[in-house]
Amino acid sequence: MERFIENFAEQFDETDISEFTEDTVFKDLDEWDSMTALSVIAMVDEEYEKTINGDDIKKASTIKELMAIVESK
Amino acid sequence: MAVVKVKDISIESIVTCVPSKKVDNLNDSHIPESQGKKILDSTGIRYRRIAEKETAADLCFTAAENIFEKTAASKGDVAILVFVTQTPDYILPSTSTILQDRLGLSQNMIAFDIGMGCSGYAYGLSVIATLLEKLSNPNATALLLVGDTISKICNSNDLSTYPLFGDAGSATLVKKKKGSTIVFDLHSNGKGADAIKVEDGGFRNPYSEESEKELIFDGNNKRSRKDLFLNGMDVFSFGITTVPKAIKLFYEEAAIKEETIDFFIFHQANMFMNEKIRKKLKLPEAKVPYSLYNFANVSSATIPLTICVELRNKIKTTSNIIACGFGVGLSWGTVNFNLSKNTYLNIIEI
Repeated sequence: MERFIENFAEQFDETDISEFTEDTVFKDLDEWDSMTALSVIAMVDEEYEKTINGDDIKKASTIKELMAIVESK
Repeated sequence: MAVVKVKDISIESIVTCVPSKKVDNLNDSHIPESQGKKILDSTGIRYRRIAEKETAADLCFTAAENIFEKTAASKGDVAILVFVTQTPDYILPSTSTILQDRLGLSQNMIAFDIGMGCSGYAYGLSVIATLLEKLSNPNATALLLVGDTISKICNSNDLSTYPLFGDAGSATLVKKKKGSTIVFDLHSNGKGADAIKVEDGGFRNPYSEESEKELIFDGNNKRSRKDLFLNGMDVFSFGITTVPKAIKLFYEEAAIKEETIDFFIFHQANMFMNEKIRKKLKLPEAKVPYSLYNFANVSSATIPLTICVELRNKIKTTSNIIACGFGVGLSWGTVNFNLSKNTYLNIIEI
């Protein structure tokens, strides 16, 4: 889980790493936009060799929920 | 499908025509100043060519006329004309027959449209190569016209499409030539049909008053059902997973080694996606040219446009090319061919 949070946090340039926990509602972050969403999709592809799409991002509210979706793939 | 090889067919000329109207993503009243730079950084797109009065057919017509003016190609030899577009002149008749007449080509020819977008160049090339191979006349040639005016269907208040698309039309002349081979591999996945779509205006959802109604989505973007919709996240995840796989499969099935390829011409979607694809395939930058900065995403015409702009002065005696188009459909196709020093490549404006 920690590794996933780190990988997730790396997609952000300005948000401090301390703001990311498994319960972070990532779409509420100021820096969250369509580009960070694409970076997260790319990160999941590179680090976990899994494909997630727009619906998966929409369904997840917290980082933990997104990780569960990635694991279910 | 499995890889198909068409023998003794060669690309003689490729000309791409763009409208002279040029708009700048860093200086556009529809793009907030704070967004322009961000869009440029992520998509690699600065300028877009916009067709005001011209249609895709006009751009392709002008490109084709340039081939007949500047090369030895004769209109009398053209036996096949295929027009690939998603922005035709009319719902009917097909634009290709109108182009046959406008170009002054023989009535004894095959002419038809193919309604494909991003993958259209690979599809069109495979169709004309396969047909031409079957014709007995050794002098017969085929004209592939590929172009779109997607700017006409983008809502100017939708930043998920408006800054990304420009307009262009191309003409490719193909003839029979001993020893020259075109290899292609085409794919389709209609499960992703909703990812890039114009909802209204066809016969499933005929155009109505409702088609004009603007809806707000993803914060501030506005579009109506007659406008282009692009699900950026779905298209991105499709692109970065499907395209590298398709190229690797192509290497394997066509028995091609990456080192033997001089240039990889990918559909110019946006820099962020295209660079992910390039890096996944571990391709050197010098082998993967881009035309995004000056011309944006011109849909079906990105591959011929990139060849005309970027390879015009780079072709060796013979250059071995892989081109790969991917997107709307969802549909994707890879094609391998050679261009030589004698291949006529040109970019023109109207």
